[in-house]
Amino acid sequence: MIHLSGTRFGELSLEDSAEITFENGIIGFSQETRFALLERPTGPIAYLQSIITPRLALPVVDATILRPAYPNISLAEIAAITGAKPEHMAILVVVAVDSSDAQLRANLLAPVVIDVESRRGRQIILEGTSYSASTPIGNKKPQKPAVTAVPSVTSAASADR
Amino acid sequence: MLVVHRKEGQRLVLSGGIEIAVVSTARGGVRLAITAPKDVWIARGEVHDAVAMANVAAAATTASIYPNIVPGQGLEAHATEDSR
Repeated sequence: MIHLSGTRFGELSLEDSAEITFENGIIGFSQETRFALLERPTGPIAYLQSIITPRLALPVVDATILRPAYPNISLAEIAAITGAKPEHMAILVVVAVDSSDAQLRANLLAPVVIDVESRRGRQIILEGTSYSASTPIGNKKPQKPAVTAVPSVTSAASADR
Repeated sequence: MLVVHRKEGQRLVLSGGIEIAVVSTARGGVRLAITAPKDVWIARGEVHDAVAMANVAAAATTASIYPNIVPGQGLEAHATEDSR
């Protein structure tokens, strides 16, 4: 078991198998190589929780819920970059509330790609595409709020508040 | 850090199968051709930095929604350490 205290969600105990390895960290946080995905019983927003730094957690949304046609490059290409197999691939986008206008924005430029079998993840930059790092995604209620649609990246944690 | 002078058509070779060639120089800019293995992504510095800032903003978003944290250990201080 992995025990984390001082997270945004209080004390967490995670199964070892919940760990996702990010060999290169995530962009801007190169030391953060160990994460777990915390899903909530309701709502499409999950949290990529650092195992190294308990107070660090990034809100993420399954990209296919947000934009069914995303991304506009092939899964084979993403597989070549990340090493994730297309059939085991979960593509998440990091979301943030813009402090200037309280808009929810998604980073479509740099998806987080996770191979749910090998449990290895990587954040990649889709350089050369028209995607933005802060695409407004409407209000705080993403279009399809069905948590059952979030695919198979699971962890033992329950982080609901 | 290596600072090196190259002319048009000349290359640099890095380990890991990476090559950078100077294609042309004009009007204060330089055009580069970069060859790298498939699993190496390449981004312009400002694009990389925008992504890093978006990640920092995302971390701050979590902090604002779930401010369940020991006073004096703000996330921002940590987050900026590595936002190169």
